[in-house]
Amino acid sequence: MTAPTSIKVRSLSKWFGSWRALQGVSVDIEGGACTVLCGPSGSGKSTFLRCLNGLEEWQTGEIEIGGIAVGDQPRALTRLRRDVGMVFQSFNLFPHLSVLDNVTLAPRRLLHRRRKDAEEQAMRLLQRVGVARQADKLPAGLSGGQKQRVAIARALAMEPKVLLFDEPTSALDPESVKEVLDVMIELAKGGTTMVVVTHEMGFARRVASRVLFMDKGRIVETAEPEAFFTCPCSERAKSFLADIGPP
Amino acid sequence: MIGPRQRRAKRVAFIQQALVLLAVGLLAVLIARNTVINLQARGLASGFDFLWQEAGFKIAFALIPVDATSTYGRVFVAGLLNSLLIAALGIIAATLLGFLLGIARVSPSPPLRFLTRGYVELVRNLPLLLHLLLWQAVILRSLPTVKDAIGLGGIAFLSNRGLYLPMPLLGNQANLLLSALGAAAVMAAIAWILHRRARSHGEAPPLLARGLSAGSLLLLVLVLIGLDWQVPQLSGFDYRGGLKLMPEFVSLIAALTLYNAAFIAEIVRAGIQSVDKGQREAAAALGLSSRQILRLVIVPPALRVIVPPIANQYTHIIKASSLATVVGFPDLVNVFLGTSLNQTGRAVEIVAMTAAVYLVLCAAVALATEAFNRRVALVER
Ligand SMILES: Nc1ncnc2c1ncn2[C@@H]1O[C@H](COP(=O)(O)OP(=O)(O)O)[C@@H](O)[C@H]1O
Ligand SMILES: [Mg+2]
Repeated sequence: MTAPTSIKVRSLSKWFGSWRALQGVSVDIEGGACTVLCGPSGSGKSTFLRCLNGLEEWQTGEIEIGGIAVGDQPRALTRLRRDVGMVFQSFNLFPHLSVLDNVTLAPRRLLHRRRKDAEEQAMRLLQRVGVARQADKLPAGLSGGQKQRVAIARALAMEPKVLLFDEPTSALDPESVKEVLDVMIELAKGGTTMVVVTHEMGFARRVASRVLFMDKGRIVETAEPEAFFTCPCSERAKSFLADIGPP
Repeated sequence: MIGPRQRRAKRVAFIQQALVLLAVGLLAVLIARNTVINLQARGLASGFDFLWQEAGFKIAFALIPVDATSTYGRVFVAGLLNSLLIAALGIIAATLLGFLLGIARVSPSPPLRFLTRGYVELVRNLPLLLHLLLWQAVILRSLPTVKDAIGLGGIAFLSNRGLYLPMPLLGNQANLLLSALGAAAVMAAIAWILHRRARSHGEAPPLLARGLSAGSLLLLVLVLIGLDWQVPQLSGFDYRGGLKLMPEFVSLIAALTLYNAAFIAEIVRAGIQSVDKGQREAAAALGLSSRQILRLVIVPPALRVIVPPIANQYTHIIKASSLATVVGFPDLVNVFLGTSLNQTGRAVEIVAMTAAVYLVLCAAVALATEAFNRRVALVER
């Protein structure tokens, strides 16, 4: 087992035109642990997360993942992204590929796995997230919860050192939310570095080692989950927690 | 599952279609009978026997030998082949250019996007006829005479009489050449299979595969060099030898290609943009390169959106090939619907045959599209 991969962010600022979405964010994200990022809508959570794997370009500041700088040089960026999996709110499965092919695409093309090996690995992952029986279906034939679990299996197939989740359960019905959270709780035990944007406070309490609270493009509070939920320091966090209700 | 209701609806639909078809067929027979009776009453000949009669005129460009003693049937075939040549070249060139332009339309480079957008907006908003006449004028007016032809590497020449290209003479070497080409094709096929096998096993392709691909390439080059190339030579007032493409042909292909490429570019752009941005991001997040993303994630679903309107554009190119008549290139409409009809007066037969050609060609495109749709319909979103 290699050392877990930590993430270092220094004075990260990002403008959309004249709108400053990130206002000099600096944070250290612990390797091998689950960090939950929460905050009101429009506070810059997605933007921050998407900067971590270079999906979003930023203007000033630095990001390092496992000691490697995230830059804009395409080759280095694609190389780095292999080790940083991402799960989106809207699943983003490839609609023209079966569930199995969705999962094997990247390992076959990027790691040059033989088809048979890639499919065996994919079946193990689909088993693990509980959708092995859907392997031959197209994404259109799945429920939301199943789609998101396939998306998680797809990200896991590259055996990433870091996993980013952007509101993975926000587009799901309550039953599916539980299916997906169960998979994520399982993952968090495995020692992968996880950064999860979510409002699922139950999840944060159970598995997060730290909670980052973001507001207006800044991280305004960093705390242990228990401390954050019982007595948040900032007024913004208090009213935010009051808005989303008790966990 | 098909339930009894759907089955009944299907049967009703079938009977309706059959009735409509029957009615149309009856009407056609009535009209045909009526016409024949009328023509006979006026003493005009009818029937298709003229196809075996001597036409007595020459054709400026033909893919099969045609002279003044050729029959109308042969003239029909020559015109048909010319029309097919125009349509095929127009379709291939417009597709290639259209895809390039369409991809450039959504490229990350602003100048490239700006330029291609300007091209598309300018070109597709002018009538095709204007394009054609413009190119005709450009070629006829601004290109030099044969005497001062522009040499293209000393082997091809461009003048206001047309484009002169080198052309191999396939004489007695033909068999040797064909077997060499066949051997190269077999070698390439084996190499391809070996490459694929290696790739699906995640291994480097074997040396044999590399050797075979190199060998087939070498053979191809040798064949190309070994051909008896006829380079156009200036003799008297014109170039002899090689292939002479009439200016009418060149301007027609140029106009069809440039005009239709603008439409195809828009179709391709719309297709690419129809693919959800999220899928592109998911692929990028996995570490796929932008070329892999285009090939594996964007193009396959985009094709479902692109193919039907492109097929429509193809039928447009097929029909627009008849604009050849305007610039005087001997396509089907020019030599058959034009000259042959004038000389024989067999209006009904000739119009029907000409119309049938375009109907069949466009129906073939429609059928191919439908087959494609049926295949990709399996992967509905
Ligand atoms: N592509 C974009 N163009 C312009 N503004 C954007 C874009 N993406 C996000 N923003 C703005 O940046 C801010 C942060 O957005 P986001 O990171 O999506 O917030 P969150 O995920 O916390 O809801 C919002 O005010 C949003 O309007
Ligand atoms: Mg968001």
